[in-house]
Amino acid sequence: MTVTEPNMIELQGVSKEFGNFLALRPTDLNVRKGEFLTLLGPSGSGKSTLLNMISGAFAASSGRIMLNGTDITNAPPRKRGIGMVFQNYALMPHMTAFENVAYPLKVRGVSKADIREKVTDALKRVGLAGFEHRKPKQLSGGQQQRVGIARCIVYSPSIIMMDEPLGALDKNLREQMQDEIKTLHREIGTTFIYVTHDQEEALNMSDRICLMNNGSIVQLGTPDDLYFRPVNKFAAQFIGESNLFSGKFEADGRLKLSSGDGLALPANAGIAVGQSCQVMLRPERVKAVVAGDAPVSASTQSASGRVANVSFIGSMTSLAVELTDGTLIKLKLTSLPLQSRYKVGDAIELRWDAEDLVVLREEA
Amino acid sequence: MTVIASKGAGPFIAPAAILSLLVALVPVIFIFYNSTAGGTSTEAFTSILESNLFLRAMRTTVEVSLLASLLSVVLGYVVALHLARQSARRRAALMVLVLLPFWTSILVKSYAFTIILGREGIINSFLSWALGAEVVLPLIFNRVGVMVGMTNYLTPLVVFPVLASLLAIDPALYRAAEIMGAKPARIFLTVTLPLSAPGVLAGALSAAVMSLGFFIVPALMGGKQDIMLANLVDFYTREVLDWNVASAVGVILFALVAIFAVPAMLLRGKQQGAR
Repeated sequence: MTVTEPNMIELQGVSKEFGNFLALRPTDLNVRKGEFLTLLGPSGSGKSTLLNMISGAFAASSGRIMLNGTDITNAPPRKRGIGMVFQNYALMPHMTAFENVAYPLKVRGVSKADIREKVTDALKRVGLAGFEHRKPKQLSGGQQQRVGIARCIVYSPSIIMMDEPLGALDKNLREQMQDEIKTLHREIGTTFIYVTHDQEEALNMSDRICLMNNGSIVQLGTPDDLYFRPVNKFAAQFIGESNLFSGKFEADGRLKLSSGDGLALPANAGIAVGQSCQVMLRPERVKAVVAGDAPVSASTQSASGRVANVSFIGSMTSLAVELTDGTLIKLKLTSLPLQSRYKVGDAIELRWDAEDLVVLREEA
Repeated sequence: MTVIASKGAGPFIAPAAILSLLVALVPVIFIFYNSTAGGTSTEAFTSILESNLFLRAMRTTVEVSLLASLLSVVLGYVVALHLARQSARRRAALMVLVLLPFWTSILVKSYAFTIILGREGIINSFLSWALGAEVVLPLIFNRVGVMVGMTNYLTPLVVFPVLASLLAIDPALYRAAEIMGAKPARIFLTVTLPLSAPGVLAGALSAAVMSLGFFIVPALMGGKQDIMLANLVDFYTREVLDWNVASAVGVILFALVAIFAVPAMLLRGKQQGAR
């Protein structure tokens, strides 16, 4: 549905060097109007560099940055009309919550009456009505970040950028605020660019995710694309858990593994005979079955082995299974009470569907 | 008090504390004793409070101290602002330059200033040469000379507390203000200045405390109009030989210093407590 929307941000061959270090390779990226785009990647992947160049914190070494059709490559930050939420909130410690939120309006010369109305409204929207006169020090981390968000939405910037905004909060609050930010995005419809290294946060919140590593984009797509159709090993391992197998594609349509066994691939895998490749299987797509059950369909695969490790992590239990040929395979099962759970050393029969295997591209 | 109360600090503090008691507290008690002629008379105080010379010196002291502190804060703030914007390495090197004036005694510096500011000094000679006419700006042996000498001494003392509070400002605040559309002047007025105010106050108070007791600079670089309380103490001690009155002036100077020193100490304690 967002495909027809025009681009809010266009990066054209943008790169950044710090001395000899190439923080961002020449990159093209379009952010559509109204979408929630997440820049996801490990630290040093270039995601913050990208964000900081859009905000104007530092200049691009090459390329062009277009904002809503205007070239802003060399515009100072204050002229870009962008909003930003910081990881450590960056609230003015000497100002109250009200004054903090009023700051961008004062800068814009908004009248006192309008400031009062807009600030009150913005604080109410983030659930902080009644906290107007508190200084940042008198607010909890979550409340401070809500002030940071209110300070951003109050002047209706063309895009709102958030740089790991929940990074300093504890897990439960983080999840709660993820939903609040999602709701906020739905309500105000502004373009959001969100930076995080937390894959679950990215999957939960984004319309699209831009996965980055070593200063370049690895994959750009919907959360579904990234989870179910990762393009390479890095993407497969960074998002979710994965079983990886590598081998050579044989004439019989199977992937010959180093162990000597053959692994059936999806029907339309598109690999030439004799080519080496790597495939991925998500642990939750592997099922444990009672020995002797008949295969469900033609593409159903099975293997047997012994349980090598069990990790009970709440709703799910992860098993590591050593197959008879020595291959280790991980699977995830819905947790059962201890007496019904698999134990280390148990014999186990596994099934999966060949269509669930994802062929990965060689990393650049 | 709180420092002494903290456990195990006693043995470390004791030597300095005992020394301070002997070399500072005992003479102070002696002066208090002396000013009241053994605690029996307030004559010395009543006589100087009626003396024109004392009242003028008192006024000069307060005026000179406030003006010198103000000038030092302005100059020191600019230096601190520049230092705060340098890389840590460059800042360390530049801080040595800030401290350079302390490598020379204030007595030597005061004489050196006569070479620069005097009638035939470097400034007047240069201006005469540049303008092609005899220029004799009165730069020394007056209030201007006192200000130059005192500001030269006090400015480095202001730089450090101001620099500390400037460096304590989270750089993200500047980025946030800029992204929200604020111009540099507004950022300075709404972020930098209010957040460095504690450092400015601490610097101003310590400059004021230091300048109240100045003796050499007004004596060597000032004129007859620029006699300060410390010079008056000297006058009564060495020329009038009235130690009773000299002590009374000393006690009043002591009280004046306390007015500035106590808030400065409280402020410093509060800042350290906050860290």
